[in-house]
Amino acid sequence: MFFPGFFVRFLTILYLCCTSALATGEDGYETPLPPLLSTAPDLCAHVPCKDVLPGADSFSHRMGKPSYVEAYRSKKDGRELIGYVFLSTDIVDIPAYSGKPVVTLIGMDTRGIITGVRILRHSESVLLVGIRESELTKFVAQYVGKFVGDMIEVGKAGVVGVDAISGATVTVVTQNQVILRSGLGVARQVGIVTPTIRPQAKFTEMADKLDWPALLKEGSIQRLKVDAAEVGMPPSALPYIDLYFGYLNAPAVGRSVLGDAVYQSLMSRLKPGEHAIFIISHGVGSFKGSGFARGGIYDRVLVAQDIDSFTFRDLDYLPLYKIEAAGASPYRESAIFIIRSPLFSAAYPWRLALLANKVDNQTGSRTFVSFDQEYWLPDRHLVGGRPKIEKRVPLGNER
Amino acid sequence: MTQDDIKTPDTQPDLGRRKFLNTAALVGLSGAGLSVGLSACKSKDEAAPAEAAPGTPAEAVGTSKHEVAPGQLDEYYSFSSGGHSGEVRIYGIPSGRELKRIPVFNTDCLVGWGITNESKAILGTKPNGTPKYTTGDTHHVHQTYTDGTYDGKYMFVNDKLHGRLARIRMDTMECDKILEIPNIQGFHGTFTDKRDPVDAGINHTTRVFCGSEFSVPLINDGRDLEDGSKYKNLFSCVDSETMEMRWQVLIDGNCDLVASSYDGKLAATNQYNTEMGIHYEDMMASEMDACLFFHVARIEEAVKAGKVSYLGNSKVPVVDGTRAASKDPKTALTCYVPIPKNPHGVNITPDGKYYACSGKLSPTATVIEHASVLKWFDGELANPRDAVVGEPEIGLGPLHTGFDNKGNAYTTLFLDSQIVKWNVEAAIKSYKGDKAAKPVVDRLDVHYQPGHGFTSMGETKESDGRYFISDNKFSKDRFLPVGPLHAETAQLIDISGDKMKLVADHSVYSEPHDSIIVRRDIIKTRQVYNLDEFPNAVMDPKDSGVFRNGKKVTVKLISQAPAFSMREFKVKKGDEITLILTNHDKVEDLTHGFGIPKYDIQFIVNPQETKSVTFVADKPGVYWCYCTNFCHALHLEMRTRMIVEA
Repeated sequence: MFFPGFFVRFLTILYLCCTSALATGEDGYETPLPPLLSTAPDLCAHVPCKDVLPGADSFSHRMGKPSYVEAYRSKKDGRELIGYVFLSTDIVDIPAYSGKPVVTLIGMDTRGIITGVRILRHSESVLLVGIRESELTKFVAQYVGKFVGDMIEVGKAGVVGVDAISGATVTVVTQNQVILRSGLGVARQVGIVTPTIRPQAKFTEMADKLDWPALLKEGSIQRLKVDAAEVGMPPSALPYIDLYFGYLNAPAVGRSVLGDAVYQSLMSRLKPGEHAIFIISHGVGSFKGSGFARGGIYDRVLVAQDIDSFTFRDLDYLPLYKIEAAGASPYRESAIFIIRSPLFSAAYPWRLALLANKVDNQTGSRTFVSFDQEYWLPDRHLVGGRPKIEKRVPLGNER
Repeated sequence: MTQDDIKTPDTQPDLGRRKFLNTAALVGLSGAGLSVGLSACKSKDEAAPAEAAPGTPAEAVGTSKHEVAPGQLDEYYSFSSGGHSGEVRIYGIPSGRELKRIPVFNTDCLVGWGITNESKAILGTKPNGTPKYTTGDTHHVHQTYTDGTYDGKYMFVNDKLHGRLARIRMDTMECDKILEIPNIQGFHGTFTDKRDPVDAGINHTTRVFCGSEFSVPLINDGRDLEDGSKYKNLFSCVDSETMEMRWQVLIDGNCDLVASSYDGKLAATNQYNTEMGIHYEDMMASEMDACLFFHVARIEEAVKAGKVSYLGNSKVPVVDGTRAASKDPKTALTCYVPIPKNPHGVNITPDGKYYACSGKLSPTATVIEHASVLKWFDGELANPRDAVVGEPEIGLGPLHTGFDNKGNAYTTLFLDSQIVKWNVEAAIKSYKGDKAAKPVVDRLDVHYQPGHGFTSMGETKESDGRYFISDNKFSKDRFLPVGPLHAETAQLIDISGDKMKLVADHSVYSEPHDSIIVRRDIIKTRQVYNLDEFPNAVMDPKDSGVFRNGKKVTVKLISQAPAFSMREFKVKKGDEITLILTNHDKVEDLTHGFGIPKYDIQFIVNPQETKSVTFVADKPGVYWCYCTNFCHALHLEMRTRMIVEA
């Protein structure tokens, strides 16, 4: 396996009890923003850039596409470049729980280490309802000192993890995407991280249809099973979750799993660069949860490929009506998710990550644990077989 | 209940069936205790089903495979007309879950149908801007076809009350067009065509056929009021894409239900009033009525050749399909096939070979062969009646027929309160004189008095023989009583085995008329709208505001949970306000409502949708407009003040 198997770690439980911490006037909620914030060339004249890049004393105007500013420290013989500051909304458009973006100012040094994160404005009313707004500030503070090219995941330990906020997972999962994707957008431009070029997969056209056990055996369906004990729940006859997933664009997989008509119909709904995966599961846990119902974000599953990660919105979900492949495991939950990014390539390995959780019955607060499983289309589905890849040393360990 | 109440015909076992028919059948049919001769019954030795007692509970065992567990999805959609509610409903099958009501000809204050400017533009308005009609009577729902099966593009539904055809987009499941058909009344039956009769490249729906049931003076402007001989009927064809009239055919007799052939060549309608009677005893005078076939290609050739007339102000070409004009089969536009008696329902078999017409007042179903009707048009069949290849006696009050994928037909028997399963080939053999052929395969009691009945995918070549739904007109004791107006029953019957099996009683609000059962994978809906598709969308919160042009004021507003883009807006008494609201939320299902107290305004905006309303601010004061559609934890706080200055 390209990545180590399952990572398990129990996280600090944040007991965010039901205090009546309604709008306490803390910074952030619906804070009016400077009118020229998104257009002014001199970004740092309007927002506190120094706060997110300590040591910097001057800044360039907006540059690059998407835009960022260079941060300098004065020296005797002029000034030196010590990092970059950027506004999340210049780079990514990721609505959070409220449907509006969390406007975030981020600083990063020249090695790609995050130096500061400051939330300028959010509309997350969930943070007014029983969850302290300071939790979001605490959450983003966890990124300081971490390398932007690391696969930072919420509830994750094995690579680089950050702790979630119980009750606000949609907010933190999207905020994680906001920080990493904005950071990578700038890091790639300035040469800290080599731009990822993963050529799209070319699939072999095979007429044969495999049944479920054969798909599982060849690896075009993968399984992620988590026992109750692994999330700290009492032993149970049912697993926490027993989940199967696979990549549907590959015709021999898609046709086997969905049948010809449904496969054709699904592919006709996809644009170039879009990818469909399916997930089915049974057990006591749910991979859907209910976060998507309010925030539109599925906060329990994501797909990660190298340093890129892909989350799913409600609009990326389609119902999976039927598994045509004979012998499929019985399931309680099912989904088709669409990855809408040409950065993803099915020719290369990827991981499905699952954010499992345990609920405390008394307080309703949750403990989060992340698990994942690698997926790499078997050779026979790819024209020319699997491409050669270099095993990547986790970037965080390079320095 | 008093003793008198229970002296119904059903409790009089000694009454012979023939006598029963003569004395009581029409009580059930018409509500009038009139004694009228019915067409002769054949021998009536059909055994009644063993479990005939009304009120016998549905089998409690073996229903689990028809249940849908929490979180699981139904296998089929059922699209159902809502009768004189004027709407269309969507159910999940087999669960019977009601999923949606689509307002069409009615007013619906939940979504704002009949209230918003956009819906009024579809409904049509009087000069004062109010909807032209606020009532309707939906009867039949049919979808567009490609290659003989549903393609999930459009659904059509008719309004019997005001003679209108509506189209519903299947991606949003909302009505997008309504057409009022000229010079007709009682628009009962409708059906989409399945392919073009001439152009082999058009293997999909392009036409909708519409039949008028009530005869009226051809120009119905006060002339010929009392002269019944001047009352006529038209059969109409609408273009399914443009929703404009293509042509009409002047006929003798009336139209009831409508069917279309799989090869696109013929449309059919059953006629219960070939007598052209004005009072119902006159309508029942003749032992034989007809199933009328339309030769679509010839009609369109005639239209092209200009062999048309125009009625009054109507610009719709009308061709002559009367009996007098159809004497020469080789040039006839129509073929009148005689069938007994006051028939109801015409349905085509999934293989496209036969039409089944139910007798209603005759205990028979008539099987008409499609190829034979074409032969008549080619001059190769002497007599239209020779196209009849089967006429099995199936029971009392047969109305509508659905088909499975094994050659069986399922017909609702209104008077017998049963579904009868009969085999089409056996009926044909029997008609040819084969005494060994037994057309009727099975009978099942339903509760009570079925009207329409239909099978899963049964109106397509992909009929799958899984389910039959009996839309019954009365529920009586089947559900908790809810006052004088009872729920109705849509009973789900498993038809996958040899014997029909009643597996669920679904309650439905009055009054579903007809439905179709469509496999779920055919339907592809959209999740949210696009801002761009609304020309009046308020694209940016910065565009919000009050824009005055004399007395005409436009209020531009955005909703994004948990707030409207303006906390208040000011207008003056007497202003004509057009309020435009765009919902900028993108999360699926995050719909907002907008209610204005005392101004009788309420509508919703779905994610990324724009709606508008126009009204006169005639009452000064403060009016708290609020979000009516639960949206967010701060839903109650989502308000704005409309301040009307005196």
